[in-house]
Amino acid sequence: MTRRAGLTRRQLLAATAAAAVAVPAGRAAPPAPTAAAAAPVGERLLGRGPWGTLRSLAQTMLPAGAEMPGAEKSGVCEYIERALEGPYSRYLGVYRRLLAELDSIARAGGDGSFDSLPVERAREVVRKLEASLPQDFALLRQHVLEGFLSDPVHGGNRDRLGWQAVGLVHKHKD
Amino acid sequence: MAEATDVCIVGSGAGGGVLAHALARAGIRVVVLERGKQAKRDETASDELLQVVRRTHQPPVERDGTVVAETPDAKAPPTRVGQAFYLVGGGTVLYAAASWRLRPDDLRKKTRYGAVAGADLVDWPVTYEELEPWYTLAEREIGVSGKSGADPTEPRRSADHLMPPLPEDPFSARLAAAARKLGLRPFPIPTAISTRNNPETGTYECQYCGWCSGYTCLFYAKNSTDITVLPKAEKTGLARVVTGAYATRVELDSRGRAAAVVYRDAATGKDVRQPASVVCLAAGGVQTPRLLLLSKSSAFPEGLANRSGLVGRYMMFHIEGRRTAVFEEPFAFELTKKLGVHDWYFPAKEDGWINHCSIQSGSRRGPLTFALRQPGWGEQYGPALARDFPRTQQLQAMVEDLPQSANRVELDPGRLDPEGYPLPRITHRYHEMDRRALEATQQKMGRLLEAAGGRVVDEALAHTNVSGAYTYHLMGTCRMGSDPRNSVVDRDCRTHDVPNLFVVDSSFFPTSGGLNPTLTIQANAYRVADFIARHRKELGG
Ligand SMILES: Cc1cc2nc3c(=O)[nH]c(=O)nc-3n(C[C@H](O)[C@H](O)[C@H](O)COP(=O)(O)OP(=O)(O)OC[C@H]3O[C@@H](n4cnc5c(N)ncnc54)[C@H](O)[C@@H]3O)c2cc1C
Ligand code: SF4
Repeated sequence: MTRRAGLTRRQLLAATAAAAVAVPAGRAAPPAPTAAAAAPVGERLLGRGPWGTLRSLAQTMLPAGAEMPGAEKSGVCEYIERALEGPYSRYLGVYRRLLAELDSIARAGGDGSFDSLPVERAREVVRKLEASLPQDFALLRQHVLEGFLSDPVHGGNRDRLGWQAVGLVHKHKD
Repeated sequence: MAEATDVCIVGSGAGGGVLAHALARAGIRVVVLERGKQAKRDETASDELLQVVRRTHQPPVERDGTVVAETPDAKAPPTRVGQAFYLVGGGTVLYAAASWRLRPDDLRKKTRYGAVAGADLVDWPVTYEELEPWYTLAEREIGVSGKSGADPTEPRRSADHLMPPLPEDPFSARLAAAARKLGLRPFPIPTAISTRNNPETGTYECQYCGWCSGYTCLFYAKNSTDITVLPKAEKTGLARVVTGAYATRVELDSRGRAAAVVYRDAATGKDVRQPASVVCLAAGGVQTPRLLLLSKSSAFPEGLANRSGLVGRYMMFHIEGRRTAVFEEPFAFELTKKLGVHDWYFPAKEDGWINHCSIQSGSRRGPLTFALRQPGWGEQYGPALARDFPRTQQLQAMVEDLPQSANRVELDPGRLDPEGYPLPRITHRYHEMDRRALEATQQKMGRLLEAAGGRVVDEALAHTNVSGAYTYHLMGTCRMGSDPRNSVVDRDCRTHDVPNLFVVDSSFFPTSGGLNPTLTIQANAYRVADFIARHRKELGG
């Protein structure tokens, strides 16, 4: 992973999106390009900048790796935006607080916005976020995992990539 | 007011579903009042988020939950335990379907062990031999698969299981080999899961998808009462299931006989009165005593059929033991009960406790619940999850909960549900022997897992209190016995105090045994149906 340390969050997201399209045939259908399909809801709920920050944050918490699809590719934020629009609308305030705090921690470090941080720095900032708002962060962590491993009907676990990653072969018909 | 019926059954789960079928088949008109709705199989199967994390099929726990605490005045957050479970088919829709016959000595606790300080041991007023034909009938009608004769403690049976057992998976095979090396006799657990297409029960062959315990079965392979006996009951034209019907009161006539059940209709928000010649309660081990306590009147100021003062007392769970181990190789995902070990089911003389204990495989967690319990995030988190989830296995123990009169369901003086009725409250504390039996069983499970090559990753410590240590097996709150002074229902599950009022869920259990209770509830419901059918004239009053 250190190999990637020089990449910014944005570059990483772009890289995983590209990798997603390159998934070998027979494993899983490539996901639809994410930006166009999903951004509006999350942006409408949280604002354009914060929504982008949330995507980077989720990817920092659940990064892509050799056998790991990571948050972006597995649709974690598509899950979260759908939940925030429905059953989790009461948590919108928690998300706003978390993202504002994240931004201020990042800027206090003097390197600009969270999205533009290199991976190592981003991780440090997220550790500080966890220490500063432990309860809110625990809720976010729960939602990230829900987006990774819930039944795909809820918008996440795209193409069952989360289940696949943890070795769960799904035998239900679509 | 609804049209009068012969028998009104409250609850459509294990006991109520079977009773409805058996009565309708005997030509008796039945109305089943069911608080829940029909489960939506296609929407909920494998949906861990809705079924386990958000639990949207139940009312919110803050408004409908049951407080469980060790002393009557202790504070504790409400739990789901009293809600098990509001659905057509009740708990059988979600259960793991292990389908056991109790052992003759489970029903002769007092005779076998004598008096035990702090526990009110009794013999059941029915023997295993009396229950045997009803077990056989239930195994046929519900559809139980298993390998007759393989369980070293299995009692005499007059017929084999209907279907062969579930096939052995790699983990069971490994565990079985290790157990045999230790001189034990592991065996496939009998389950109400179809191992072939089954025209008799109307169910289909299991697809081994793994989403068993805690989930609706998408493939109609788990033989819950909503897809087996209830459709057959309705087909007779004599039985009707009313859903969204929350029974809140049993009414008496001037002669002190049950006359009607009043329920709140979820669709209209109005109260409806369902008159019946016979009333049978099958709302589960917490809701049945609650309904009796809610139905107090001038004739029964302490609660209906409660002259003994024992309604709600002797609440028993099973203490759930669990040991977790991580293995070298991955195993396919499966929440299906497969392998049992009963060589330690009966205690040895020197053990110092008298609880019966069953050890069972197949109680892993789903991927999401598993992940939520693994702390952390970041680069290492995902790979660790991918490594550990398929390699982690658990064994589960059912440890008998000895009956104590202070362990009880009451009406919670401080908490009303949204309809304005007091919620149940449970006071429950395990007996010293329960805890010792649990700890010893935990150690045995650890030895088994290690013998199979696992690295045990949790502690064997006995639970010191109730929280987290109970199962959804809710037994004993309307104790069966022959003496009206120390029991609520007689040997036919008829209340001593009201001649046309019956209890046919697990509330009647006088002791809990060390085995999951559902097949016994079902066998007993067939037995009670037979009694009601034979006495329909006099019961009709
Ligand atoms: C995850 C899980 C796994 C399990 N695994 C096993 C297993 O492997 N083997 C086993 O033997 N058991 C198992 N059980 C337990 C099993 O589900 C119960 O033992 C069984 O369902 C109890 O039957 P019952 O008839 O007493 O009550 P239930 O099946 O709970 O039925 C009660 C019914 O009454 C309804 N009701 C309640 N109150 C009212 C009211 N006021 N008005 C109208 N209706 C009402 C409820 O909605 C429900 O449908 C499991 C349970 C769970 C949750
Ligand atoms: S394993 Fe079989 S019984 Fe269990 S849920 Fe899947 S198909 Fe149904």
